[in-house]
Amino acid sequence: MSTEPVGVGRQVWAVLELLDRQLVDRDGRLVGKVDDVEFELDDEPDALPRVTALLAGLGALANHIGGDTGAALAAAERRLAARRDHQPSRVDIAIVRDIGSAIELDADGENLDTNRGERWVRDVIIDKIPGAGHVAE
Amino acid sequence: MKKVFGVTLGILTAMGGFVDIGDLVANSETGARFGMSLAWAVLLGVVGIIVYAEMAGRVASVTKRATFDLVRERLGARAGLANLGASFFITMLTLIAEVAGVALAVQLVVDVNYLLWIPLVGFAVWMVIWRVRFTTLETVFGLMGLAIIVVVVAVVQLHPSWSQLWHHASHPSVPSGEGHPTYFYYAIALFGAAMTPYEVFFFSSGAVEEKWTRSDLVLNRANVYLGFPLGGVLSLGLMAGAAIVFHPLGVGVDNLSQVALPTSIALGKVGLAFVIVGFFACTVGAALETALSCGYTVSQYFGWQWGKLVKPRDAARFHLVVLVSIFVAVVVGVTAVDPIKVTEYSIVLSAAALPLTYFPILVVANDRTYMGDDVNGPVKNAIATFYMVVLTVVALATIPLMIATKAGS
Amino acid sequence: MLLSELLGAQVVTTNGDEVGTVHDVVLVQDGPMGANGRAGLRLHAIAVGSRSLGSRLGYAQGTVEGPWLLRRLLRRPPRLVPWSAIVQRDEHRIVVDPSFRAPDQD
Repeated sequence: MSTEPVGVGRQVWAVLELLDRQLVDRDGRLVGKVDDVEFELDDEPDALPRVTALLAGLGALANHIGGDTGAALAAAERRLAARRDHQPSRVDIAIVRDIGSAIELDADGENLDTNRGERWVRDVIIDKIPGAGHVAE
Repeated sequence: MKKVFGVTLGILTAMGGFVDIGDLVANSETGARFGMSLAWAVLLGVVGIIVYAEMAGRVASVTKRATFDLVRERLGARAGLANLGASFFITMLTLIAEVAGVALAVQLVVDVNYLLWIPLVGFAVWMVIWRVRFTTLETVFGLMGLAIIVVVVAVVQLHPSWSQLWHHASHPSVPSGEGHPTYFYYAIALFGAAMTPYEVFFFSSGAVEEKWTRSDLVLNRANVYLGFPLGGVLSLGLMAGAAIVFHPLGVGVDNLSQVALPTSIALGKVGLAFVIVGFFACTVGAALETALSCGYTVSQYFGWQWGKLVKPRDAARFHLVVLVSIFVAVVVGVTAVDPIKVTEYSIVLSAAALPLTYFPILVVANDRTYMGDDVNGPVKNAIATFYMVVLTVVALATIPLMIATKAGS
Repeated sequence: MLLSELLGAQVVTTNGDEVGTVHDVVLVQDGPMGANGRAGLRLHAIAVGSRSLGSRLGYAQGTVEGPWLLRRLLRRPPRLVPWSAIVQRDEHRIVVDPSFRAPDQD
């Protein structure tokens, strides 16, 4: 389990270490799972694809799963998504602080795109019930 | 103080998980039909849950990740989703059974039809999860649940022939009039009642939330090595009570008041009072655990914030899942579906689904990059592998046996 | 390009020989410095094999060693095909130059 910052030359197996990993914000809040990885390939010869973002959310999960289940999830996501442009939620690689047992992000969950669903359920449903702000412990 | 509460977590888990409606029903039914000849299945299940829970607890302490989180990570999104579907469905079935179980326990005291209690029970369960302090929960129900120990006292009080009980248990045989498939079907039921997945979800999620560290591993072991065997003794007590009272008469057990009968025969009204308190506490504890587990499984798969120690508004989707699950359990319960039958299905299907969640935990427990020196040693691995084989055999045998025996009738 | 587009793709050589399916990709942190002050991750190779479970769980990469039974069943080191060997990429199909075949990489 890695606790030191990601160092130069480090090797990462994308499926084993990135995909389906828990995303954690800077306060330790759980903010989703990595559902896909986005690459950009420059036009130069000998260019290797660069990781530009981690994708999370139902749309990205639908892609990742594929097949009929994926199509059903994608349809559900289109229904639920507030956005019109159907873009999966992106976590820019620049805010990734550490890749270890979980993926630590240098950001606040409130501002993260991937946490939209959580905020919606909170604002529309949970906050309406008395006691939602009360810490049980 | 944390240590005392930590031990209580184990006891609550053992109580709720071990002596929930599934165990009350399975052990009594089996004792009545087969005497003590299926005691070995309980022992197999107790050792199994000890192995499983110790591993899952250790993994949770060291990696700070709960079971279903790791299930998705290791099996991938697609297999993980199928796994989630099955696990959630079974946990939901169990929740329906537990909520009905609480209502049945209340009915033993207040002679009002249990169906009317179900919505109240559902609301109370939800309310406790929403508002009550977690440690209060553990202590209150942990202590109340200990009342179920009265079933063991009752067995002693019935002055059975101990040598005969022991002989029956150590020389398992299929009684005349029962077929081998039915015998093994009940073995699977007992096994599934002992090794329910939701216990492990609950236990490991609690370990992550309470931030158990490597140094808490000692505590983890105390929980497991103390709590689950205690549950096993209680299960065997239920089985023995039914074996002594019902088996010679050839009478079956199919409702909760019959489960209480051996105790009330042995210890009269006082015994009955204790056992009903015990039933109540155990089924409430189990209902809480299963409701939370419904939330844990879904939230951990999707990576949502979950937990008892955070404000509900900070774990919104988790609480929504819990709320909806309880609601569905109440709705199904009031349709007067037979709670005993639902219980039987839930434990048998739990047994069949065990490999799904056991396997990824076994793998992570062997991953040095995660566990460091806390990986499974060779002895643990040998036992754990043995159980993986057992679980696979059980999983493959369940559906055919269920069909062949018409679900144990 | 998405990772999900690569995973599960059939890999064949320019001669038509089947290599297997893509189960994982190897990233190395040797790219240009990003906004966070750290070198970026670049995709160096795709891991191709015939069975994905061992790769998924960590047996193929060697991070998970036991229990003995599972390791026997699942430890199948994947073939690593460097990105530069890729000649063509279609939906679910990748064509590679057979020159990648080298004795025991990684």
